[in-house]
Amino acid sequence: MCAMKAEKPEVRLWEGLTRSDLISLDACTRCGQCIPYCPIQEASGQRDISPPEKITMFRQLLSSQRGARAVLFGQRPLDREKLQKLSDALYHCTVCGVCGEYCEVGINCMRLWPDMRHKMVELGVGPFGPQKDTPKTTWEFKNPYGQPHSERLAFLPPDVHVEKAAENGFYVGCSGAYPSKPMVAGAVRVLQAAGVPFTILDDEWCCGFPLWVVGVHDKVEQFVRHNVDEFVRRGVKRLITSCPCCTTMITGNWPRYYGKELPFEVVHTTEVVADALRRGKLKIREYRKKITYHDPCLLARGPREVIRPPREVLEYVPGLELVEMERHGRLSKCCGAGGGIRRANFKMSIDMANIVITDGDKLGVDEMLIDCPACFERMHLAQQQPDHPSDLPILDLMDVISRLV
Amino acid sequence: MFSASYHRVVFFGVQWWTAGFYLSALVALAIMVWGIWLKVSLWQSGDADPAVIRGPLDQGSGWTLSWRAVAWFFSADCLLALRVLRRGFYRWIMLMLVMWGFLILFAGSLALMVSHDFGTHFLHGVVYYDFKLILNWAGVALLVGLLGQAVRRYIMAKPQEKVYNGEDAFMLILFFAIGLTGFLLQGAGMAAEANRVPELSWPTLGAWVGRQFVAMGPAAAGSWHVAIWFVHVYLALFMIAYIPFSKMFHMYAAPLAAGAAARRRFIRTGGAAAPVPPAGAVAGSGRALKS
Ligand code: SF4
Ligand code: SF4
Repeated sequence: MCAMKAEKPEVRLWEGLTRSDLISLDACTRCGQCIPYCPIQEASGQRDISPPEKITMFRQLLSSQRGARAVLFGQRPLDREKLQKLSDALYHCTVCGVCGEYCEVGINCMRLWPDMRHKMVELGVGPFGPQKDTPKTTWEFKNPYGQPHSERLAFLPPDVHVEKAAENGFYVGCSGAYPSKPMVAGAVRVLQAAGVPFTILDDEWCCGFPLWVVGVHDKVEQFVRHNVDEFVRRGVKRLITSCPCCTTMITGNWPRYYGKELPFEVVHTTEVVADALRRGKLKIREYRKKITYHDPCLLARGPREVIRPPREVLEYVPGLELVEMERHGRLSKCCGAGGGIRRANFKMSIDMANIVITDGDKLGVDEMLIDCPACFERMHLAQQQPDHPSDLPILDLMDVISRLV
Repeated sequence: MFSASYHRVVFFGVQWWTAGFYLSALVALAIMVWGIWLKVSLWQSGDADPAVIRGPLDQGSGWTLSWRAVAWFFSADCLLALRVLRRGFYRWIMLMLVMWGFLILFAGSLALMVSHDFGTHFLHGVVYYDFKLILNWAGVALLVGLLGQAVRRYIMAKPQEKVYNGEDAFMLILFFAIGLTGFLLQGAGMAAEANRVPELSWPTLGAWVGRQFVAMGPAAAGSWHVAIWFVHVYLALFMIAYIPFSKMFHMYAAPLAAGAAARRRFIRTGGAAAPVPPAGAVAGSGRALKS
């Protein structure tokens, strides 16, 4: 006969985790194979915040609520010290997903870490440092940067025509709308040149990624519903995304918060542009440069795995020579911008950005092209620091292409 | 050499504890089943996994592709652990020795039970000889594999891979102790039981251990046999009961996670690329483009 429960903790650690998450906790063999590839480990070398340690700590905490002893003798209060250690480890992570790609048992870390962070938030030990302001700012301004909502479309070049309603919707995203305008300005110009009519929401809200990734999930559904309903009202059948974070959020998480499959398809800008180039609908002028392309984590490892399309676009540029970075494609390195770490640990994120820039610089290329507003912002910021190791020009892929069409 | 009816007496020297053994085994099995049930019911209390939205450039059914992937995983990646082989031969061979050694010994124990308890008595004569040979080599494989794993973990591992805790060491020691006491038990049994003298010349590690016991005489070897029997049997039963509550539960969970990863990746890529990058891999090409 089971003993009476000693107390009923308010937060149940397993709730809100997916079945795959829960199986993953038991699947980790602690082989350590993921560790050498983790950018946080490369920058800090702190083993106690490595992926297997996070999984082991969570499993131990979970067992104090659902383990054999808890079932027989009642649940124990969560070990606050361990909880705090786990929270520190979870928030010292860019959610880049490299560990999951290298994991021998295929743990889906890109989902597991944010789901665990959500539990930390419920337990009052997350988010971390300045990330705490993200939810309030995002709800108030509809973007995590605290920029005026009325200026969201200020990036739109005057020569670009936006339809009131169209089968193609373009999702701008907060990073493109505010700190990394060249990226989305370039994207809409290229779409127009490719003859793809599209609509943009006047009242577009954040996709919810900044909230989801720091584990504050309660308002995400409202962001998702607002955006989905607005796009549906404009007759959108295909949503074109630009930012990797938005792309991952929309493809991987919007259906979860919307409660069913989305009423439109989702594609990334580079997929549409590659398609237009293949059909001969777009011509690109010569660009005599030797470049490298940095795969953004959430594009290359996200649910759509956009790796070939940007390369295919580059293959259509006459005179351009692409030199691959040592780590590229689904195993590319993280620039240190993701997972809210840039707010939580400035130095660590700049160190990671410098590692990627230096890797590119070693190739002897003229430029590094990227396709992510967060990478764009972080790498430029790294290059503004006094002791930055490289001045390699970092340019946005769509910005460059828009000047060649 | 030995007759067609040659076999060994099960529960030699401990017949008086036969009922006690079965009761203990039942308890251990019940604890294991309960532990597995606890885990599975915990997994089931999780949310359903969200579907990955599929774009217009994706063709074909994700489910068809995914179950093909799962079937591949259970055959090649779980039973042969090809995912580990892609990373390195040493770790793979040690894992194979431990895994298959353990599985064969486990199957052998079940076979012994069927032969003895269900009255089939098929483990006689040459069948018994072959059975012994296979089990001995499985035991040797288990011990070598465990030693190899310990060497990799504590001597060969790069500093950045050293994340092993007390439980990791405990499980290694537990498995090793079970394997080792298995050989000691076998050796002591051969030396103590007059009927088993022919086995002392068989080409097995157990026979070699038995020859070391012979010098002490059958009576002393018999006492040792009883003592070792209790240590071996109760360590094994403890391990059976303990698996669902230990990190060793990954033996059930890892194949499931690997299968889920294969499904996810087949959907994400439209059916491409190995899910685990090989050793030293630095790139992955991702989804093939459809024109
Ligand atoms: S998601 Fe990236 S930063 Fe976080 S633990 Fe995994 S590899 Fe390290
Ligand atoms: S590679 Fe996977 S199984 Fe191995 S320690 Fe890392 S998370 Fe755990």
